[in-house]
Amino acid sequence: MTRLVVEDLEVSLDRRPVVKGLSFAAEDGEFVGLIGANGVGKSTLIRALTNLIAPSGGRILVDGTPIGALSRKALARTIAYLPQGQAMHWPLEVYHLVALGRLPHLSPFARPSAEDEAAIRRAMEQADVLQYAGRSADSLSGGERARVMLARALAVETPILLADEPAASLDPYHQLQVMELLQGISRRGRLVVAVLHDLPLAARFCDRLVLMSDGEALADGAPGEVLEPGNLGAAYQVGGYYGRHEAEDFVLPWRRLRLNGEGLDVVADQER
Amino acid sequence: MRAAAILAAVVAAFGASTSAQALPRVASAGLCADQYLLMLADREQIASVSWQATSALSVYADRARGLPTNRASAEELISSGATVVLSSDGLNKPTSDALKRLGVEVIDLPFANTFAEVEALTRRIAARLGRPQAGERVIHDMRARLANIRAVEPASSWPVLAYYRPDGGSGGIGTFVDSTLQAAGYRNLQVMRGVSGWGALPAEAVVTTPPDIFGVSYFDTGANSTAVLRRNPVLWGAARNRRVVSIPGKYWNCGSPLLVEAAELLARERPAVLSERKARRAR
Amino acid sequence: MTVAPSFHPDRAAARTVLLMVGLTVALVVLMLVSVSLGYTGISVVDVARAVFGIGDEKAVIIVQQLRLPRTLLAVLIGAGLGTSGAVLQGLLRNPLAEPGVLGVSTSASLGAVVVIYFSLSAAFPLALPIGAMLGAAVATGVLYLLAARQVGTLTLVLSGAAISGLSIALISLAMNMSSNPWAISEIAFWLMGSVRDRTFHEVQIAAPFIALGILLLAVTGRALDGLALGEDAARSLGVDVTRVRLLAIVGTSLATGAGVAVGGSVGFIGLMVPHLLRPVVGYIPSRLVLPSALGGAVLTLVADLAVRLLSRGTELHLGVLTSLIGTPFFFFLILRLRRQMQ
Repeated sequence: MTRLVVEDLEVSLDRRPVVKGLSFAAEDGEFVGLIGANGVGKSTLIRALTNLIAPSGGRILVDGTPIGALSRKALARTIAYLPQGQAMHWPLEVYHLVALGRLPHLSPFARPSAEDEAAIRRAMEQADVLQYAGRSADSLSGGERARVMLARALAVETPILLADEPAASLDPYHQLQVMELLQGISRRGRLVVAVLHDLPLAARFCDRLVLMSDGEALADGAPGEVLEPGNLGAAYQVGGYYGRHEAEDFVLPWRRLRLNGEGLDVVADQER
Repeated sequence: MRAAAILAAVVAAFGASTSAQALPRVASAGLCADQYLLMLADREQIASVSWQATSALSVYADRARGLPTNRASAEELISSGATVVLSSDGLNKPTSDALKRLGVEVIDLPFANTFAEVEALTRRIAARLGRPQAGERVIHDMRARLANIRAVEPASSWPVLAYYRPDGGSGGIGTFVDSTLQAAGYRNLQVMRGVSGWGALPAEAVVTTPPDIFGVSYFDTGANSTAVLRRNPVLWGAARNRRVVSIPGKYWNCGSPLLVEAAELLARERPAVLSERKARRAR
Repeated sequence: MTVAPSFHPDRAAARTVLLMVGLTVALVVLMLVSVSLGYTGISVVDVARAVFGIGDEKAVIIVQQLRLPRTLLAVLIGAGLGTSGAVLQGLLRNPLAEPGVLGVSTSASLGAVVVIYFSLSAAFPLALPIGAMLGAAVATGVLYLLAARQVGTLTLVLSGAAISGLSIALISLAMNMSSNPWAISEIAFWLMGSVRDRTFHEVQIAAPFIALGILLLAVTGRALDGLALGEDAARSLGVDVTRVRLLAIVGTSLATGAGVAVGGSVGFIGLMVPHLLRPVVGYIPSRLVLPSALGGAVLTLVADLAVRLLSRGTELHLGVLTSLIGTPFFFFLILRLRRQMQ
């Protein structure tokens, strides 16, 4: 059974349509990147997938069941959500922060079981934060904190992981590290869907990209197909530089484009 | 002092014959209740008086010395052995409720605003204390002294007095200030305005209808009692040319027989006020 | 896979247990001191005997019917305030939150003031506590409607401020318009908060509501942990945010409203206690709830003891003392938070 199916999804915010009829399906083991310019509805789509926003049309199916039909706990055990921004309101110890990921599995007043602790440990190993277990979360650097939050999301041990800009505001080292981690997680069997704003990273690490424009999916497929010049121009108004290094293809945003009568044209030198 | 004289008479009349054991043990909480208790009770039956009973605001401070005092807490009142507590706003509600629940009778003294009400209250308290004749003596004395100072001229010719409390309020229709001023032969400016209760007397009224005399009162020791008039330059301008009589707060902090002391004090000022008024009109 | 022991020692758990034990011991000791301290000198031996009904009749009444209920009430009110503070701070993710913030205490005060103004207690003895709880219930109702509509934290706090402001305005109106010269002082005294001369009558009125309130609040613990990650993440972990809000609001109203009903306005306990205990329990919200109940009881009892020891002349009121200590604490907290944010 297909793990995640989105059918003609429509989502509105304050009665304004943001996602206007989007469909795609994804399986275990895929690393799907959601890309597109600012404001096209990427974050809204992710939040609808977590059932944080109710859609105004269409439906979302997880393992064949509409997500609205799942109980809160069942949904929490199926989809893990890593929001943007690494919000953390109290300076908890890293261990306890990651342990929060086990909330969907804990019964009301029970203490965490040995299985919970094993899951926490596995998550911390995968995210490479085991050595920070006893440290206070607010003593960590941005990159370390991002990995701890990822460990928290992994600790839930759900088949699906949704991440909203997991590498945002990180330095290059940590950006690469987080992307590698997510790729590794998907290779080990999970479905990972991430909103990404960095084109080169998305192109290099994702198996598949869904390019959004104005609330709809403009393109859906392998990075090489999706990021061809026509799509790049239509979605981002930029022209790209395509290259290859160490057996990997990449694309860099290279030049701004402008809409003229016949299509897109390069922005003239004197305007730069 | 006249107050002491009343007490002496009462004690002398009853000292030998009354058995203190038959009388209920009574405590007082609050200044007004203190005065009533000290005025009417046999010393043996007084279980406790409020801490204010020995202060400068207490007319019977001397008599209160040596008696157990309380700060209006249920513990102290229970400990004193009182079965009845007279309260004049001395007890707050929780303490009053607690005492009632623990089997102590609490009498909240009502406001006595006229001399008739003062008499009724005096009788009631004296009866509860088991000392009805003490009550009658006090009432008899009160009536005699009031008759003594009663003005014979018609009320329309009485001097006008404007009264100010330290907080700027006055005493209008239905207050014991009103009753006392009438007994002393004055017209009350606030009453002439038709205002009842304890509200303020606006300076405008004083300017429109200048009174013949100002009355002020002080309720703490040594306060500058004309301060209330000085606060308002217009008022002070009007007051400066008039007599100002200062009535000690201990005589009229509530409706009790002690109002007679205030009335007598005011009555003593009256001849001088009348001659000043005459001189002013002649000008 | 064999069952492995925890790979990380939960030091916070050990500290929390020690804290609970320490607070419980402190509470018992303070309760004993509180029963021995009063307005009339009774020796400790006589107090001990009086607790069991032995000895001088007056001493027995004083100890059993006045000092004991006073002690119990301070404990109950403090526990209610401490728990409310801990849960509200966890819910709003704001260390400055407490029952006063949501306007519940002030509207409960308004309910009581209305009863005093119209002299309803004369006709109907239970009028005062019922008035206060109704006041708290009105604030709760307004906040319930807002919480169900999923408004943000800021809106919730501002609504609390508006409810407080309105309540204070109406209280001032009552004081202004009252024709009874003693009503103002009665209202003022009552607003200053005190447990002096309370009997088991008050304990019986307040205890069930405070206990129920604390129970509702205690249930929110785990959800508050999830909320530490923010509302979205908490929801994704299965936390029913709306339910937590309702539990917190109703629990606070019961626990605080009943306290205000019998003791007047006592503030800042809910602010100070969670703040002081939070580092000890490792900043974990769920572990803060019960210690805050104990800590609130301890702190309120300490304050009530101080009030009895410090009053030489006119009695210092419990609410006044907690405000005198709490307000500088509040400013200190604000400054600290500002520095942390910079």
